[in-house]
Amino acid sequence: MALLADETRKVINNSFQRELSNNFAPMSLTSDQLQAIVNAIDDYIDASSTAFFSQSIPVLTDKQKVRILQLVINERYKVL
Amino acid sequence: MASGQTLCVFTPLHNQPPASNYALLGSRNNQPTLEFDPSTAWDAVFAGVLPRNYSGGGITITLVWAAASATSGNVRWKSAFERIQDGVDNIGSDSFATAVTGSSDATNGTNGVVKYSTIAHTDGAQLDSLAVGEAFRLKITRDPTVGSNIAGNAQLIRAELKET
Repeated sequence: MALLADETRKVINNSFQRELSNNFAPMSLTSDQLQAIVNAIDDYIDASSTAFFSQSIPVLTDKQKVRILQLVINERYKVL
Repeated sequence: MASGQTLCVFTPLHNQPPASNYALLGSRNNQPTLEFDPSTAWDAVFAGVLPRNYSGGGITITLVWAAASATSGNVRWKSAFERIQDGVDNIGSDSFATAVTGSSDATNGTNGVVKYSTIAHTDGAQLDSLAVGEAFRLKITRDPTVGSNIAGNAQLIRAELKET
């Protein structure tokens, strides 16, 4: 899987900043710094995706594996 | 009128939003706000009449704003006047003068604490040659290209025009 396009990464950053604004949540990082974090996370996911999808999970499609990953992350961090 | 005297005051409820990229009406603690996006240059437009006691000098705009969430970084604003001259200007199209860019102002360390930013327009072209008693529009834009742009929205709550 390729990296997300720069425009898509910007959309993610904007969406996150919109959530911050709607919640009046304090944020000490600038817009550019948040963009760098979004980029780094996408870079990490891209670099890790081969290992993740090659795990010996029988039968499941890649989308099903990602859905399970979402549920596990939600349970661990309660952010979704 | 002596310089430094207030000519007009606009609040978020005076906004006449353009067709696209307009600042959104919001609220914080039941106070109306105009929400300006961090990534796209959004506009607010206010309409008025230049008061009869204006004496022909420059006009300084004071913008009262707060960061919705940011506790560091900068905001920069632009402002542009549009003269609506008797027998000349057609309200069917825009004719704003070139915008004047303010300084890069650091937000307060606590989100929601207001900052006063000023933009000085000299008399003449920067006012679109606006004259006393004439109708005008004022366009306010957040400049997303500022260095260390704050994350999240800038919330505008007042705009004051005073004679410089």
